[in-house]
Amino acid sequence: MTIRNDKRARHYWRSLSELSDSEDFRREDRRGHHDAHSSERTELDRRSFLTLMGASMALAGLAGCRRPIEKIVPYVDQPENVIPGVPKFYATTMPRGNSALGLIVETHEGRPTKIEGNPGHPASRGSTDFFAQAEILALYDPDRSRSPYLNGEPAKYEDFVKGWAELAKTYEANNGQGLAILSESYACPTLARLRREFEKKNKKASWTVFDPLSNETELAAARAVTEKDVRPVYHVDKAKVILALDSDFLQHHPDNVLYSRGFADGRRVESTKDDMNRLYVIESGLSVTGGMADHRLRVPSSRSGGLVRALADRMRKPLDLNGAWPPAQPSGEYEDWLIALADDLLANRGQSLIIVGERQPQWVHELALTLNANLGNIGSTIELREVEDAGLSSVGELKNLTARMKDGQISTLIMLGGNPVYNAPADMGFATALKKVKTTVHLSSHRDETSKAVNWHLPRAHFLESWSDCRAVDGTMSLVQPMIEPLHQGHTCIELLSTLLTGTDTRGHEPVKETWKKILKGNDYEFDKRWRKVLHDGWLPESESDTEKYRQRKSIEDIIAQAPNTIPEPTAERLEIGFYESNLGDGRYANNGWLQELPDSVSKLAWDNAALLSPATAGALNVVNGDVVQLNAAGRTIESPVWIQPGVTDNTVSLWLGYGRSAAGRVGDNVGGDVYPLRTTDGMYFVTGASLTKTDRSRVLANTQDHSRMEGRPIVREASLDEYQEHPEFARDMVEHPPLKSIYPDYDYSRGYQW
Amino acid sequence: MAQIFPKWFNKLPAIFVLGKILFAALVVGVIWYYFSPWYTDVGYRPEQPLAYSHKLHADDLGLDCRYCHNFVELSPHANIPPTQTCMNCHKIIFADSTSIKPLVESFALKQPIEWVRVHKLPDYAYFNHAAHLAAGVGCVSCHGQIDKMPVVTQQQPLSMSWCLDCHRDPAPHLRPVDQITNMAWVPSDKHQEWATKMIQDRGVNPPVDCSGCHR
Repeated sequence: MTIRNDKRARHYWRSLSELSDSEDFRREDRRGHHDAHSSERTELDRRSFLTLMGASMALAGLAGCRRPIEKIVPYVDQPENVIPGVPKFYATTMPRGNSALGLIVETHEGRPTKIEGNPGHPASRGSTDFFAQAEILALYDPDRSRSPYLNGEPAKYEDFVKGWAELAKTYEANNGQGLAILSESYACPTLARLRREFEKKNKKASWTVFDPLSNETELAAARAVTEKDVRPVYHVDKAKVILALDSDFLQHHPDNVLYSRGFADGRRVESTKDDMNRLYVIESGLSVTGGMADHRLRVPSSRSGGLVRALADRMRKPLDLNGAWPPAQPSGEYEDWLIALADDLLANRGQSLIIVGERQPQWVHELALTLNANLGNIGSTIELREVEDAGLSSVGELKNLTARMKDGQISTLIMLGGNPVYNAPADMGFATALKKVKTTVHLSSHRDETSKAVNWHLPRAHFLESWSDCRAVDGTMSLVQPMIEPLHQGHTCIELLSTLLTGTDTRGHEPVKETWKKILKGNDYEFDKRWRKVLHDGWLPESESDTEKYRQRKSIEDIIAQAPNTIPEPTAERLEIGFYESNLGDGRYANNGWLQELPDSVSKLAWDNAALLSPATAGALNVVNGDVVQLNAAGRTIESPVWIQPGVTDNTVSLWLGYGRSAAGRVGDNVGGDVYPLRTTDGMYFVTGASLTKTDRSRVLANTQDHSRMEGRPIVREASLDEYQEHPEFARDMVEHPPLKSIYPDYDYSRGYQW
Repeated sequence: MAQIFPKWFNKLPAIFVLGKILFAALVVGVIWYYFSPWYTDVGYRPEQPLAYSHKLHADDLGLDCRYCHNFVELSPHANIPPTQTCMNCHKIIFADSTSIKPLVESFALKQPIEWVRVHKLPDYAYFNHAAHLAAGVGCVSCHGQIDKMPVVTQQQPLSMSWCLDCHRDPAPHLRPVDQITNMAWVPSDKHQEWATKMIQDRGVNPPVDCSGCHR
């Protein structure tokens, strides 16, 4: 075997027989690997046995204890400015829908290892949320796509570029007729610029933007009321009274970092002179925002709009609202609550805030914006910022595109990110429409459900490997710079779009630099200095979008005219199903072990999604934790285990999006159940009239609710603000603390020194 | 009746007990020394892929330690030089020599040289090299007379008790920071005084509690 020929054999030996080089050893050597159970085992006779034993005592060979050889492998060419062992920090930005989060990323020897917030970036102010933290794992995901695929076979990117060059000729001739691009939502100056160039070059082509979770309704409402392309940006820290209607702005919101910080700033009480804000929450499911509420109402999503109408009615006289509109349904049991809320909002004009969640229909957003304006909140707790360089998601546009695809009008569809085969509304039939398109391309980080249904799959670069730029929620511009070369030779949306425009494989920062030459201005030297400064700092100061003045262009009558007259209360036979973002986002993080392991903040379920029911509903329907049930809405059915969650509104079911994927990777495949089949274009966030049928199966759900219990110990102690102001030391005085006694006997010092 | 056993057999029990005690002491002693890093690690002299002689380069040619090990004062991990550093000279000097051949190949093929590590602490112990140099510990205190070694040999056991001996009383082992790489430096008569002052001025405070190293 090899040992004998290795010149190091003289320094070390592994066995006594090797050392003694006995006849037995040589025989074993020739035969090969010694098998303890082999029948040809040679018998050591007594004499040689004793000889060997004698030798072993004298030669206490610690070869078996010898330290294994460890190598140090330095660089061949050391890169400048890298000190092995000392981390370097770079600023970048994480694009999130049509906002962005400024980050500082720690890198070790050229590899990013930890993500933290950028203290200077206005949207982050030094913090991140768990999606940003989990992105570092997403970068190193072993199931990321490593090669382009053509019709299921690995292919080369050059072949794609060549193939596109051919297609481009036809589209040049007919102005892009039949060419369509489908992208995720973005707020990216360079992508916006390249899109304009694309649309100029291909006048008949279309560009659709779709994200399963977006702020489409909020923006549409703002546009309808003000007739300007604006988006509301909240200053939660300035608000003394906040009403969150079906809005989880503290957690499941792209700008949750900014809003949580604002909320915390407004809430902090450090002395008896401080005041704290008051949070009213009206919601259907139980969320973290609901958990933080001072006053909370459980109202089904379908009926929350009615409460806003009731609020408008109550504030009509004090706010001097013009117009005649029919009164809202009587609020019944909520009457007192609404009166208190209205009084509170009116007492805090200019310092109040009504936030409506994306889940609500457009008219509710419009009404809330009007009330906010009349309460004088615009300009203080809400700003209306111009929306620039953004791609805004639209379900209607996707419907349009799908119809044209079915019709055969689209010959080439290029999808930049996203996973519409998995998460497009179920009634659109996107997957079947896709088959009608002649050439389909999907740029994606994984070979997911959509990639498996297209001709060309191209691996996508992660944002930590990309050159790009972003606008935050208030419009602040910042750059995305790569921490590492693309691990799997992926391309960014910008690079792919550049290739579509020029026909050559583009890489790197050239397209981004071109955009910023116009933004930063100056000659070559000045531009270089400014460019480096933005890269270093992580954002461009004073680049926020302009604020717009508010002008009510839609009357309250017109707004309320859109509202349904009566909305029935859900019952146990006609349930309301609500769709919620989970820890996996809209499903994109299904292969991320950290996020799967992270228990949901409210129900503490991990590695699974369930249908959350209130205890009363569960009792009425006779289901217990883990029972697998069938949920039927508008003729569509899914199955899901049940979880009883106190805090959920009666006769509603909370379902989480993002589970049940089939092509996510080794971590995410077949984990949980897919609820997208129930999600249709007219029920993107909730659907009424659903029914629940029991099956005889059940499933064990992983739940960490009982972890870290206080078990009766006074670890968390609470008092209201008034109680605190009266009695600042309440926390200490709440608990009887026996005097501390040592278990050791005291020293008797009366007899002098005792050491 | 004749005596079966001679008289001196009476002393046997005592001798056996004594023998057992001595034997136990011997076993303990053998394990104490032979199983400790003083025996198992001191003298460790692995064969390197390239026969680099510190005696030639550091002593005869007079290169400072930090020309090659350039991050020892900056990084918690003391670095081995990249091939590039060696090629600074060997691009021209002895470029065709057979002993340099692996080096030239490494640089040409961009394959790093896989050196065998000599001084190693276990993974459960945290060690920051730059902190020790900043405190004023000389190279020779832990690595021995490297400049006299044709092949690097481990001179000190680097065991926990050995580390603690210095951590508990650093003064005798410190030297002015600019003398760290000076293998021939000898402490002056006033060393103790100087060291005490230096410890105070530079705030040398080596941890002696568990979590200092076992993090």
